[in-house]
Amino acid sequence: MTTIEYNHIVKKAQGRFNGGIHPTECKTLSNQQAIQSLPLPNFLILPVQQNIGQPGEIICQVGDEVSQGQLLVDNTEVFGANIHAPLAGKIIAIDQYPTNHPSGLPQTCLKIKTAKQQVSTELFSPINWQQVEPQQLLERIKLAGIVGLGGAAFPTHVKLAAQPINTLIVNAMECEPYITCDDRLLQEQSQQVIQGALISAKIVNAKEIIFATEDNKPDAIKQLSQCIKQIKSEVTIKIIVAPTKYPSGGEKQTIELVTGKQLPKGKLPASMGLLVQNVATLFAVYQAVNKGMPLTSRLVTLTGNQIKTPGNYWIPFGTTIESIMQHFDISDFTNQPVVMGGPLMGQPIFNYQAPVTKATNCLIFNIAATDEKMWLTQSTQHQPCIRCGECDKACPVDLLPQQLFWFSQSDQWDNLENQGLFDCIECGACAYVCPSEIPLVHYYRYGKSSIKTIQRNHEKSEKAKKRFEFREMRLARAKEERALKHKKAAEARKKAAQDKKADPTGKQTAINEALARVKAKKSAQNSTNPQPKE
Amino acid sequence: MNELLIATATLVIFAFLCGGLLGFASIKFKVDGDPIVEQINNILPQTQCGQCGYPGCKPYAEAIADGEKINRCPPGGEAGIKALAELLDVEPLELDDECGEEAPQRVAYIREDECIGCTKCIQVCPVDAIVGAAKLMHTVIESECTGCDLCVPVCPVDCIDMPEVAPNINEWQWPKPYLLTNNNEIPVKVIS
Repeated sequence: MTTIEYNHIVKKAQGRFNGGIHPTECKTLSNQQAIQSLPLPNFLILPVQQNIGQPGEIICQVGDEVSQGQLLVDNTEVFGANIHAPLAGKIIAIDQYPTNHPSGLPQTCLKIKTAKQQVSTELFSPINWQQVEPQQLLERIKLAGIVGLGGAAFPTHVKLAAQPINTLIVNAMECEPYITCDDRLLQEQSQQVIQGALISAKIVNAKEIIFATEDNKPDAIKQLSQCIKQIKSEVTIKIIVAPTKYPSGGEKQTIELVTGKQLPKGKLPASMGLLVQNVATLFAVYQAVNKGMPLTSRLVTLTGNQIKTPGNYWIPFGTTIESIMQHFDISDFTNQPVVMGGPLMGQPIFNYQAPVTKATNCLIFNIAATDEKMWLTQSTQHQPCIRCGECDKACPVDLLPQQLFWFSQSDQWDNLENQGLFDCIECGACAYVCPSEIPLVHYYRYGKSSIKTIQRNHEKSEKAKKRFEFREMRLARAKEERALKHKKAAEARKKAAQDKKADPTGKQTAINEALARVKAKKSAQNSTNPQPKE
Repeated sequence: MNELLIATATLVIFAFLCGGLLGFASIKFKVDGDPIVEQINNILPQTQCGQCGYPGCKPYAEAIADGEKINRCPPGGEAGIKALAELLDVEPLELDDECGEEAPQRVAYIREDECIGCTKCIQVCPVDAIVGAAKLMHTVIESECTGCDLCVPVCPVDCIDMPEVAPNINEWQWPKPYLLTNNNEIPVKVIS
């Protein structure tokens, strides 16, 4: 085991956050092997929406032959990210397929039959990032469809548009058990990741880059510090090492560890002059700028006791879990959940047709031994809350998880919001320490989505109310106008009748009208031929 | 005797001052309309369907303020009755069967090739969510439709359907935890 040497580049973190847990790491399962690739899958199921926000426009058709990296979904929305063909092949269907969404509802996906011969075409020309304007780099990142690969899938070009930024924090904490893709990427591609960080720093005009990591990644730290020593740049690059504790990798927790300051509620890191980016995202930035490659695949940790060769693999988006299972010959795995993401924040997937997307960083194929209580086992019934307060001690954002639980159980939405439900990062530390095994995070998600539904319904009913009131107003106005018209018509009729009475034959009227005409004609002549003045 | 006069005069002056102040306040801080009606109306779902027997949500809100029962709104459902009961501090009641049943959100859909362009549905739509003109095809603006059903009975050719709104992945809601089956749980568990 390598030990960490602290020097002017590698420093210990000064900050700390309350709470947190120390689960068994299970990281050595997958971080001992070099990064590998899988053989080509037969087909891909590519969801057309892989970012938060609105879906984009599909610009291909069934039957189209697509080359690797070709743009398939053009997304011009504010929080949109483009989607490119992960592999060359033919689009055989555009339909609804089940994905990894927790609802189990199908999403629109492109089904691509992959070609036997993969010819890689260059979509963009490589850019020498030191010689171009930041705007051009930002445009490239937008076109390449890069989103945050830490799991939130927030479009990177939106994040990089924030100003002013002093410090770019590279989040290499990777605090969740089992996951090792960032660790491995730093060990093998640290040069590229640093380049990616420098590109991002140039875009936001940051003066400093800080790699924030945990002390359980000594190899990555060693590799990184060696690379940093060789780099000559105006930007200072440092590594800050925090003690291993879950969830150091949460954005707010990372900021607190690195700066010693808490991010205020409801504020973005940019308000403190900070920008936090994930390691894998920066690697994608490097690939897009220096190699001209759009984001079409990512490093995924494949691990668990059912995989004979666990490790980190480059997997094109759209590869189904089933095809991965076929490759590893996992046959005794029926009706078991494959965990997508980590064991604390991920979600169990029972439908193996679900594809790997931009947000997938880890897949765990685990079967718990029957006689022991292990990771990823599930119980259908939980014990009642005994108010032991263990969750309060574990919460990294200083909330009161048991209060949230009670309020969520009894649908007390106002109280939930007052207790800071929306500050909960759903890290699962409370559920991990709960002696009653209450699925606490689920109660919070239920509460959050219920409050959002209520808000959405309220907005809808406000809109309906406005439209209803406008219609009432419109009808009243129409009625008034009609009444006015009728009144005028009646008056006109009355006047006509009176006139007729005064002048029964209409002779006088005709004379009057003729006189008026003559008068008008005369005055018109006068104005066109004025008499010359003496 | 003098003390008695002073005391009486002081009290009288004081009474006039207070009266003046109250009079001023009643003009200055006059409340237009009944705020409770507005509060009730905010709870009602604004479907404007008339299932309660009143021609819209606002009239029903006014009726509730005058003592009408709070259980006559099927689109608001149980949650709506609960919220009304809380606001008015009365016992929540079961939904009145006469008015209808709580149903999932629906939206009107016009089978356009069958529409004869009679404009009858346009005239009854309480939120102006149907566009079209005489002898021309009509269509529903889906995002504005409240699913009130009022357009269905007036259509002379029965070309309006009321399909349920398909579950939307962006509006999907997590189920209540105790209703969960094993399959949907988050894998957070304890290590031995």
